[in-house]
Amino acid sequence: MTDTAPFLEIIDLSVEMKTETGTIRVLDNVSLQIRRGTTLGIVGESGCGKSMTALAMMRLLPPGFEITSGQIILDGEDITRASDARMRALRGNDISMIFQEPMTSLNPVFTVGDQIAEAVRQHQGLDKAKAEQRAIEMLKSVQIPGAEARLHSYPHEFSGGMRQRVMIAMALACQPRLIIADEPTTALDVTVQAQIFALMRELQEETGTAIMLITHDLGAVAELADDVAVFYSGWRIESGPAASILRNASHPYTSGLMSCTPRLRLGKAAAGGAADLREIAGMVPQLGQMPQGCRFAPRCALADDHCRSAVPPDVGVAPAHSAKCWKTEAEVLA
Amino acid sequence: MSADDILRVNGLKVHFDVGRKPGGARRVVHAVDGVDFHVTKGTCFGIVGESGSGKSTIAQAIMRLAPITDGSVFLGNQQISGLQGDSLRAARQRFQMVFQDPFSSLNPRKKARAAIREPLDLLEIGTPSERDAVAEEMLTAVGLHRDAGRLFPHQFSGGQRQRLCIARALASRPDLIVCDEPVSALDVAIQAQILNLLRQLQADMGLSYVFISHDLAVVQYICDDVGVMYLGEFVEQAPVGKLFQDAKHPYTWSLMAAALSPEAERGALAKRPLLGGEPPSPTDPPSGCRFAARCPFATDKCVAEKPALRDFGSGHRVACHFAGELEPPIPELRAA
Repeated sequence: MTDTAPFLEIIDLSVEMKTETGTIRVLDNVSLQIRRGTTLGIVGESGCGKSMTALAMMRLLPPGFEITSGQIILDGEDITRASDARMRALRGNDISMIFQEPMTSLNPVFTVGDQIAEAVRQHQGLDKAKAEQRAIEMLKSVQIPGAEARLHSYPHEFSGGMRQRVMIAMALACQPRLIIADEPTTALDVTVQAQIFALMRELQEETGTAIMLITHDLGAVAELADDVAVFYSGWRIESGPAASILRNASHPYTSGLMSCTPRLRLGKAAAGGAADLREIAGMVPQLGQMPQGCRFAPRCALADDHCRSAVPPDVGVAPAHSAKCWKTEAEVLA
Repeated sequence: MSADDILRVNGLKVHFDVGRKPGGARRVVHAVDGVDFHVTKGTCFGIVGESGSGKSTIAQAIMRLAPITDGSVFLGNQQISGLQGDSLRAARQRFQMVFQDPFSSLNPRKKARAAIREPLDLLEIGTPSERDAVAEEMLTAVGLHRDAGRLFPHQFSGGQRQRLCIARALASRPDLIVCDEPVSALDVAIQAQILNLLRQLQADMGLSYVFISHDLAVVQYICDDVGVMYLGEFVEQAPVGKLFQDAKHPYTWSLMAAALSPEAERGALAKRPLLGGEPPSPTDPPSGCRFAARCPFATDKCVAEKPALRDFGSGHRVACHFAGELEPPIPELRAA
């Protein structure tokens, strides 16, 4: 396997939810790739399927949800139908996850040292003393001052930012090859968010781990991501290199998101009054009441009858950059 | 302080008693420790700062939901900080609040119309049919269908619920609305809708806002004047244009440096001067400058001596011994 091959590849993944009245498709033919040592940003509004994709990958879908088609390939291995035992070996060891709310994802009755050591003892078979040594190293690597002493502290004795550092230490303890970070800084202050982002970049450079960053913040994507996938209502509606998408958004939804994000203007740029913030009218369609054609058509200013009746294809707009839209101009190949 | 002020807050202190230290001394959280500001009629005053800085406590103190330890709050000419019982109830129709989380701030068992009517019912304003008419009018004012009043909160999306909360705040025709992080829980597309709604309502009804947020870009979009809070105190206060062109406090700079932008280069944050550490405990605030422990410019003087808010003209006030002498670490501010 060469280094250019994607480390993680999701091909045409669909996830369905069974309800009393029938099945609802919450992820519809989603494809993604993450290259070794790089960061993929997944962007979209709540309910668009970002977190569902991560859960499907970890095979941790809630009851009633099921992968109905597609493949998940991790480093050449198809894990779509891997056994539970194999998944347990992968989770925490090869793939680990950082959640949004560090207070609810740490166990309040164990010390953070115990919780980090548990991961390495379970997955790497270290004995108690070595595991504790490892926990100290990990707390140091996420820059928690006084690591030896803090090992014996409980989660409530840490601030929000420090707790998220503990989560990151735990996620990194087994040297995973892929980290899924689901809104890792949403609950934190901006100054602490900046510290956590700086730490994530530093650790990625050291360890070469791949990161899947799930976020609703285009600013976070600009800061961290190499590639971006934009989700809308269970579809991946645009994907490509971060620079290409942020400078040249091709899907009307992506450009809508760009124009409704308020920008901080400093110095001379702050002199004029605030320019009006554009909005995307309406709201996301409800699950089970998807429009016929393009799912974004009811909110799209460019939509015509064709958009409302037929599902749009993925159109290539630049190298490795595509948008699922009838109105996007295809790349002119020289 | 002019006659156009709708709200005046003078020397506001809110301290909470949280039991005793080992040894017997009282432990007091200095949540808000002496803030002054005023809101001119028809404008929006923004309060920014990190969590724990006391922003929300100011909101609660103005709303009379937190006990005021010291200082006064005037709404127009009426002092509301000392009101009790019926006179406080009578004054309540003039100031209302919109909370952060539209899921927990609506009663799930009350239909939308009843929720909007509730302030009118409690304050006994108008007849029942007049109250229903007001509820319908407010629903349309916030961009919902007039028949939406028959639905329960769970039948609305997050953005629509925040519209309901705004409609409820508007029902008693208040002069002032205190918004505590009203868009933080919303998706960015919905956030833009709510911000534009607040601006439009302000223009249509001449409303005044106190707007609390941790997001500088949002504050810049919607506010006319801004106060930057750190550990219970304002460290800088200015009209919005002045603040973002010519910020002088190192803490304000660090908030600006940490802001993300979709246009930024990858890894831009790493090249900026980022703030280390976290705020000290409000139980035992430092006696000198409260920001000194995290400030890259701090000297012995800062640790020893508390800086006063100094006036730099046209409403710009900064609490830093070295304000105006330091070189901002943000290139855009140096060019200005």
